[in-house]
Amino acid sequence: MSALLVARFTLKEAVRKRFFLMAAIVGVVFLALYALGFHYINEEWERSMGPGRADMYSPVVVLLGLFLVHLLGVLVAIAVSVSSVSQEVDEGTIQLIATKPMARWEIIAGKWLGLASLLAIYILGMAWGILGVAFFIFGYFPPNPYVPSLLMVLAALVFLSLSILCGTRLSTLPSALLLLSLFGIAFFGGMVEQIGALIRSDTMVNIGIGTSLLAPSDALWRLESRLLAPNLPLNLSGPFASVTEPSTWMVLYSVVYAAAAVLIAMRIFARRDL
Amino acid sequence: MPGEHDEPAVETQGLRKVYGRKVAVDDLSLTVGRGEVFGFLGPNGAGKTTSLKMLLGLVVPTGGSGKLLGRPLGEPEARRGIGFLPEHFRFHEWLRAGEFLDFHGRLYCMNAEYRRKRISEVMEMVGLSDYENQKLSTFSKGMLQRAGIAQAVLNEPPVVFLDEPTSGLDPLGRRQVRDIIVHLKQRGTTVFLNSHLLSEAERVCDRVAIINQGKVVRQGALGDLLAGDLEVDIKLLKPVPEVLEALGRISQSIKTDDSLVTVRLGVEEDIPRLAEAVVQHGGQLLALVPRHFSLEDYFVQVIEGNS
Repeated sequence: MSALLVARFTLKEAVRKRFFLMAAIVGVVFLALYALGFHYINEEWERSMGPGRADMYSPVVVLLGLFLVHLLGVLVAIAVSVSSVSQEVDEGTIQLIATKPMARWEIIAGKWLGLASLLAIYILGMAWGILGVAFFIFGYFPPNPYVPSLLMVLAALVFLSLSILCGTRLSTLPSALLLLSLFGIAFFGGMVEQIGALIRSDTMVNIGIGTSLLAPSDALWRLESRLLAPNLPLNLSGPFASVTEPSTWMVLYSVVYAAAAVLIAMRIFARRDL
Repeated sequence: MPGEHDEPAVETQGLRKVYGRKVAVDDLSLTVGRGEVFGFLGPNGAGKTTSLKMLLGLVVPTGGSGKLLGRPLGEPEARRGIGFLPEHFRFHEWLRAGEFLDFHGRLYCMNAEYRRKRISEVMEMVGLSDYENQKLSTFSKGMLQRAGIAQAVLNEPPVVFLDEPTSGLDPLGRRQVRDIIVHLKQRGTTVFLNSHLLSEAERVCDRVAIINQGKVVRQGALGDLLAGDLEVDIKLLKPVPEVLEALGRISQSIKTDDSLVTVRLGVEEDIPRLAEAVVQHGGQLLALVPRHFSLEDYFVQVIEGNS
């Protein structure tokens, strides 16, 4: 019950601090630029390749747009959550809440729930905005956009959980540095894995798997891209698509990973001096 | 078997907090009865706030045990009957004052009707009735302090913890806080007052504990602690050595500053003997003013003695 109150409070704070407004403005600008860019790219391709031939490139452009949403989702997850616990502890605002008749874990659960709802709305809104642009303007719709949209949310939730975990022990700046580094490592490890798969290097593939276990965001993106564009020719896929398809176990691993991070955060926070 | 309301408001045995090699609080044993105003006094850095935070479950004790309203410290249910105003508090200033209280009322599981009634009452009590819809970010420091006090008493708790409630307030604000404490006491609320403003504490507290360097060095009823300690200022036309010698024999200690002699007595009955001693030894008495030891005098004596 108290966790739901904290979740509602967290959402209200996001609205009052104009997170939703800023996200909506940035989202609209992003989608407008994307639509404009998509339009000119399509026009150029149709001019150079002839009508109809450019359709084969539509999945690539949609993939690029959704990759940006995936990237933004993770970065926004870090941005909105990295100070949500540490700043309240540093400023002392947490003291009034923690002295109420509620368990400490409920504060963490509430913050997680509130921010997770926020991220889900933001990511699904952006992803379906991209899909809407592709469909209504150019008539292209990926074969299976539902699961990839949810995987985008899952990738953001993994980082949300990690961010809240960091916030229970570290202050804002070290947390942000750690989380961004982890995201960078996962992204770079994913690239190494893709190149390794192309040149058949087991070592490079294993490095990629290792970094995915450390932070599964890139593995989730590879899964999303395979689901969004399963038959995309290798020469068209570009750096944002996947040569190898990660195991679907990675989804379960990510769920367990996020849940474990939140549970550890609750445990640490319950014993922390405020 | 004692009922819930027979249990002391606060009870601790050997409560201890250590940070690394620094002992912040050592062997804190206190009992605060229901309905009393208890002053927890000490110089800055003495361990007052850490002690208070252990009672409220904000800091996990390294050792010892304690109960809040009969329930073990740290148990969420124990906090249902408390109110708290933290030191150097900061609120979620994006909230309006009414929303701020409403949120905290919800955390206390107060129903909507009771919340509305109490918000109106406490806003009036702290003189902020006209500011319910104003954002906390626009409040002055004094107004924020009063909003904090309103929050602390919102759920009509049996125990209220106030950590330096008058710091940063002007004299009118301090008076208002003092009146609120008196009002709470009249309603039977236990007030645990953390303060280093001794004149404030002396006016409202029934009992006090003095903490220094993490240890309670004195505790008891204010009247008992200050009883028996009496200082007398004696103004002489000219201090004569024989007079000073005689006064020294009667008093526990003597200080001279030009023509002003200050002596400390154990009992009030010695006051007439001072006048006799002056006259008998040829002194000329201009004034003789007895004054009881203030809490501040007592505090300084205890802390200096302890240091």
